[in-house]
Amino acid sequence: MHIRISHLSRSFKNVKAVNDLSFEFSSGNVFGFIGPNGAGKTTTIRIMASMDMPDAGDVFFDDISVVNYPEEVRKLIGYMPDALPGFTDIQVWEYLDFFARSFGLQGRRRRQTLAEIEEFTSLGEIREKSIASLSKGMKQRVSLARALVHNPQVLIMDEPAAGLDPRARLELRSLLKILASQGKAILLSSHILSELQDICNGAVIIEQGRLLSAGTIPQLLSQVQRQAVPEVSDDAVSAEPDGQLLLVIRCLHDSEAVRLKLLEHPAVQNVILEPGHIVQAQVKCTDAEIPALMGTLFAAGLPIIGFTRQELGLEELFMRITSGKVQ
Amino acid sequence: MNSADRDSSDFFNPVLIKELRQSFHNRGILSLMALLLIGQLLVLLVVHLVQVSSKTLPDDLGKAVFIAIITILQVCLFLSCSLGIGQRFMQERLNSELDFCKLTALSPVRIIWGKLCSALVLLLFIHSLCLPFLVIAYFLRGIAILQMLKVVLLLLPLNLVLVFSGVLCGAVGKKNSISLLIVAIFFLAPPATAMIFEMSRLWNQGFGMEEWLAVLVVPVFWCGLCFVLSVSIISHTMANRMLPIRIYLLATLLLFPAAVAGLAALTDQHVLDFLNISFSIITALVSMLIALLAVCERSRPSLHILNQCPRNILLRGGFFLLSSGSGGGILLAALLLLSLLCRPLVLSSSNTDWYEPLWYFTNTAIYMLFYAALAVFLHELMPRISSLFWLTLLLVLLLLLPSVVSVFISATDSYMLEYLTITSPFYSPGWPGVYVDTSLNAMLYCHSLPLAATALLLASSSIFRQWHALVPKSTAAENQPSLP
Repeated sequence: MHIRISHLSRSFKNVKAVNDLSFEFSSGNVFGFIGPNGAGKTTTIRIMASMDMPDAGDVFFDDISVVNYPEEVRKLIGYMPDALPGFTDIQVWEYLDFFARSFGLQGRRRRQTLAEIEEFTSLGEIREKSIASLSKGMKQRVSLARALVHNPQVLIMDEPAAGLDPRARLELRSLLKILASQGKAILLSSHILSELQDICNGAVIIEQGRLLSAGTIPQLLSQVQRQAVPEVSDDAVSAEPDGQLLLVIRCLHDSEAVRLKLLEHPAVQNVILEPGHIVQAQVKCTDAEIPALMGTLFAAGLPIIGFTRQELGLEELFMRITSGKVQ
Repeated sequence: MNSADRDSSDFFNPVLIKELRQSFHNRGILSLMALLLIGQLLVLLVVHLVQVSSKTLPDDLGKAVFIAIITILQVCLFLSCSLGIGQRFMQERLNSELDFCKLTALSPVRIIWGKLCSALVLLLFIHSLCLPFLVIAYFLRGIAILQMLKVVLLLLPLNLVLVFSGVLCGAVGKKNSISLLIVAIFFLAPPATAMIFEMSRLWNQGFGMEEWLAVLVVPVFWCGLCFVLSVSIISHTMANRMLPIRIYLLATLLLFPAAVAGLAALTDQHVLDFLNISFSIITALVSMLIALLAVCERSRPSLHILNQCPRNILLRGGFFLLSSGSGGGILLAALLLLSLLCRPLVLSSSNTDWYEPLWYFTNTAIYMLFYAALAVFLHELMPRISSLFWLTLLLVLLLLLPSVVSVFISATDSYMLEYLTITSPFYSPGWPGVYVDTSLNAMLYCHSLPLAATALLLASSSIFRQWHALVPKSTAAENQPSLP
């Protein structure tokens, strides 16, 4: 399945929560949806899940428009909101049974599906407990089970790991990996970028309702390295993250000479001067090649007083791309 | 799917199954049922004590016991079927992220129907709990089985109205809506109870027009209205929510007069007169509702509505009037009122009493149209303040306050009274003999037409904007997607 978000806009009074947002992704991928608070992530996700409607633009799930056929779209997607299930006077199995029935699952097929879902999300032991009595982690599981009950091809999750303990996070991560391997397209928003990096093939970064960058993780990282203007990538996500490194070199003085020397090296892709005689070099090489690279600098007699090696990650990317402005 | 693979429960509405499961898990409802049984047992205990103290039983003891049981039953029905179901629905909708109406692929009609069916099943179940006690009441003498059945049957429309109203309040998904229902029931319960007992007394003499209207026609109209309102409220935020409501209201323009004419024929009254009267009243009522509901609508149609709009100009005109949008609603209400004002209204001499209520209905509808148009206009001027707030403010300032103040002014200050109520439908120019015969029309033309025209003028920009948005644009057609 191919999901296309096309020129989406949504305003609330005078605030443009989403402003001409476009990106796309397809099945078998986990896409991270990243942005500071108030960036328009939840609004976009709500529109994608047919919980809200755009002022302009549309979301297409294999050419099925969310604006024109919201009920059809609901059959294709599983939406896991930020909030936890709050039904009263209902047991876990009854809750899941209701959603299975409402998506048209009947008889033996429904019972079988529910048993599989309960096993997958480890809800078997608490199936007869009241939802209201469950812990936050368990409610998250119920919410995930509910989103999966009709075997949707697309899973949209808004902050699924928020408030979970480390064990529950690890379990959620492994569940998501299994779901992605089953060929589902997953879009999840989260503030825990280190976790997103582990499970996401790609990411979409937005701020103030506008797209800042989108693509596979390696594409995004290389964008930062080039300090280029972000572009939207329509390519299918397939590449693995490559070995991009960030060398932070502290100099006593004359950081410009260090920059020029670094640029002569073929492994160095970009060099930025930071205040305080700090040089940041984006390097494409293995750990074994770093001593040789640093050796050339020392051999040239440059005033280097220390250096550290960092791997470029989503957090770095996020901090570089976003400005932190809130609407 | 093979039918052998289906459970018997698969034939039922999923919402009905969920609701019944929740109802029988709910401590409140279970306690209420226990209290119902305890209350009825207490009634029987009191009867026993009366018997022990006076040695003989009073002749009408059965009737007294029956009234006590029915009263307890009604309270229980209201709390469990109307308030209970409405409260749960409200809680389910309170958090829009978890609103199952938006999380499932169930249609709004199926959801509301499931809610109503579950309330009706609960209603039957609670009635069945009272059955043994009703049999005891019969054996205590003083009331016939037929009489008991009549009261239960007469209470049925009232209970249906309560259930439909409860579901409507729940569908709104705001905490205040349920409080509103409680307040309404608090004030309406005593007159409704009195009316039911009066009706049961009148049953033997044969029902007249008013009784049939109260027992059958008005509850059916109200339940239908609650149903379409509930469906439209839980529909997608930018769906064509007003379409089912306006179609229903326009359908009642035909059905209500037909029902009244049928009742007039049954009760040997002037069929033509009642056709005329009922049509006038329902037209005024419908236009009033359409105008007031239009205030809740946005002036610019949503993408969903734009994509549904027909290209043919005539069909587009009809679509414009029926679809969601404040402009279309105001225009439709104005057109209905104009059609009412433009037709001659002549009643036979035995029904001239109807001129005054007719005038009040029409006049009230025109004022409501005026308030609604003014609210839409003010919202256009100051978009930060919602049109619903403006309408509430206008109703308080222009209608409620003058009416309350006028109550405290003595009838001798008639001039002051006249000027005070000029912003409300209670304003009367004080022409002598104005309610008699066809002079009604002349007065309406002088008094109401300028108001209707002002309303249209105020709403004109909203009407124009909505119409203009519906005019097809070339890019809209290019982006029109279709289901594969």
